[in-house]
Amino acid sequence: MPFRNIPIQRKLMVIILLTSVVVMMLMRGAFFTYEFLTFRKTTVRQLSTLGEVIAANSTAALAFDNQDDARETLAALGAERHIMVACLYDQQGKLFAKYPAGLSDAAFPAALENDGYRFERAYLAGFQPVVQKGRRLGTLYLQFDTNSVLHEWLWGSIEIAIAAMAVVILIAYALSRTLQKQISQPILALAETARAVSERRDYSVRATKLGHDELGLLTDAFNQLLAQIHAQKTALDEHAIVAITDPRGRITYVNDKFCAISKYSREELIGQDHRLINSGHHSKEFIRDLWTTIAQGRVWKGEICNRAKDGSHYWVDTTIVPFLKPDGKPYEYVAIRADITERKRAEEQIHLLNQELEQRVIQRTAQLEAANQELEAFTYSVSHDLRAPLRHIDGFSELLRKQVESVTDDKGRHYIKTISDSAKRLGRLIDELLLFSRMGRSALNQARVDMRTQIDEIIRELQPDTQGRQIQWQIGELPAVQADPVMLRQVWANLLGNAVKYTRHRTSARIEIAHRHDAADGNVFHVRDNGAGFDMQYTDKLFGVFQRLHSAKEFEGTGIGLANVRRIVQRHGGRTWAEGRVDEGASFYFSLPSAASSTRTTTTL
Amino acid sequence: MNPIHSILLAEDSSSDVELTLAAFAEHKLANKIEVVDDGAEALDYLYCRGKFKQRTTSNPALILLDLKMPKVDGLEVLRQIKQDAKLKSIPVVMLTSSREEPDLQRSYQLGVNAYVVKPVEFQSFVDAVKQIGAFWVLYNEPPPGNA
Repeated sequence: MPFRNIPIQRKLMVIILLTSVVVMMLMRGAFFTYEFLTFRKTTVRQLSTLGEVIAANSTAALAFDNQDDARETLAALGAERHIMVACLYDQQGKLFAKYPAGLSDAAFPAALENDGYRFERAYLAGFQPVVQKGRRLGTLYLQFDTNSVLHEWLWGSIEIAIAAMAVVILIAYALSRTLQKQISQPILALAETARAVSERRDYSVRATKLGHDELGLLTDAFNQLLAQIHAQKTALDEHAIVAITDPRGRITYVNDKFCAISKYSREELIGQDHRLINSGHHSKEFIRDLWTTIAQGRVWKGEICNRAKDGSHYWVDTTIVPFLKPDGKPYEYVAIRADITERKRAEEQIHLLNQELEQRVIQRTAQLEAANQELEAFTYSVSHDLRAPLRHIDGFSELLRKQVESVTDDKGRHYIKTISDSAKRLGRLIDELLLFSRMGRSALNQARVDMRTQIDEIIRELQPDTQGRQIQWQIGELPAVQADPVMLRQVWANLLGNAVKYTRHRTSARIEIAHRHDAADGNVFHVRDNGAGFDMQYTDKLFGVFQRLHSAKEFEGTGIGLANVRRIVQRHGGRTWAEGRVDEGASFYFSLPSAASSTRTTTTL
Repeated sequence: MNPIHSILLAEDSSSDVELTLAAFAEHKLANKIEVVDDGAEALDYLYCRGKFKQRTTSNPALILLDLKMPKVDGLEVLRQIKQDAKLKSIPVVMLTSSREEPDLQRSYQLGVNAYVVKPVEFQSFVDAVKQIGAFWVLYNEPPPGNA
């Protein structure tokens, strides 16, 4: 098992033990080195002291060239068992005395070397001058067996070291056993708390802080994290309906709001299949799409109708978030919902109202159509049944006139003429009314209309009325417009006819036709004359049906012409207005929107 | 010109009949004018049935039809005439009080030869009748073999 995976308790113990051993070893090593160096120094010093003593004792022997004395002196070295060999050289450097005495000369250095002691491979050796009163008498050579000394010392040291190590390890183990608890305990406690939180999803629990060390800080941080999560969860719970299911759709968690809206208790829900609250409202495809989406690890959003325990349905705006394992498969689904039942109800209401409204529109349209048909029938009968008797009146009064021509007087003829005239007038009135009605009912057939051509034609048609009169026509630049040509012709015919009619008493009539472009109204046309004019206070009456500002005696007319003008212009999306002063002439305006637009196609008589 | 042939006038209003006859009289048209009161009678006349079983005279040179008539209206009479191989060559003129678009449309669809709205003014009416009579009876050449 790699070190990083072994439990922290064991880790701590291993660390403590290893540290103790390493420290121990290092210390031991340092100590050993020191001892070793000290040992060498001491050995050298001891040897030189010994050398000095032997040298001092050997002066007499050398001075008197007494080899036996010298040998004796050297033999005293037998007390020091580590002295391997020793010898004395005379002044000339010739071997003078040996120790042990029986050893061959080859065992001793043949030549003198510098004074002083040196460590050779397995021994310490040195040359010591033998001096008496400042005169060198010879040289002493000593060879000291350091190896065996070292061995003895080393073994002693190692034994002590092992014993010490054993004690240290024992103590370290005992200490680590108790001390590691100080660290592992809080960590284990923290882990336990974390596990409890994630298992129970209870973010209100807190880890107990055992001290103010780093673990204490960690515990604080952990608790703070919990507090933050708890706060957010509280906020979420306050707003949303939350449920968590396992990958198979079994409920593992629900919040209070979920219980409240579904009317199930938490115990009734946990462990149940989420289909418990399935309302059956949605199609199989809808549900399948939902599951496919989240099973693929994608977030699903939508509006779902669920069923509560009491069978009532409720609507939730739902977001389902899948949480995935490392292999990409979901391990749980978190569903966050908002209650939209009221909104849905309102929408349903709106839908119903809309349907009702549509129904009403259909009804009203049918009624309107029926009314329209009645109107058609009325118009038809007016045009047929009313005109027929009129025709008969005129026809028979004409026949009567011829019949009684020879026997009647002027009065009789006048009566007959009045009957005939009245019938004709009524006929014209009916014709214009029918035209007015037709202009309201018939569809607009828009086309490009050349205004100037229409106006020229109408002026030509007005010739019977303009013959013998002096009329000055001023016609400005007129644009072509999109309009129903037949209807627009009615407009110009009425306006120009009026202008000709109401300037009848002017010796020199002036009629002006002009156009201007207006931002609000689009194309604005006007017909201005210097005729009889009108009082501006009656301007509203001008465009009404049967509204006349002049008597039939002054100016004949049916009172429908301008009403017809207004109706046609309105159907083209424009408007009509007039300006005038009594005896100073009148101006009639109408506008046509620049972009041709047709308004309603049906108006009433 | 075929003075032998008559003119068939289908008109339910006796006043209109009287006025139409007066208008014809004014122009001294030689053709005999056969008057029927409604569409059914007009068809009876044309097919020599009912009270016209004994009719031996040839078919009229011109048929004047009122649009609105009891029993069978003018449009229906027109439809039957124009569907009948023997009758469809006889010119039919709608002579009516109304100028309603649907009527006009329907009449022309059925193959009417002319559509005249009777003017309110008697003099205009007289002129109209004169011109109709003159055109269809005097100037217009009927198709060959029309007995």
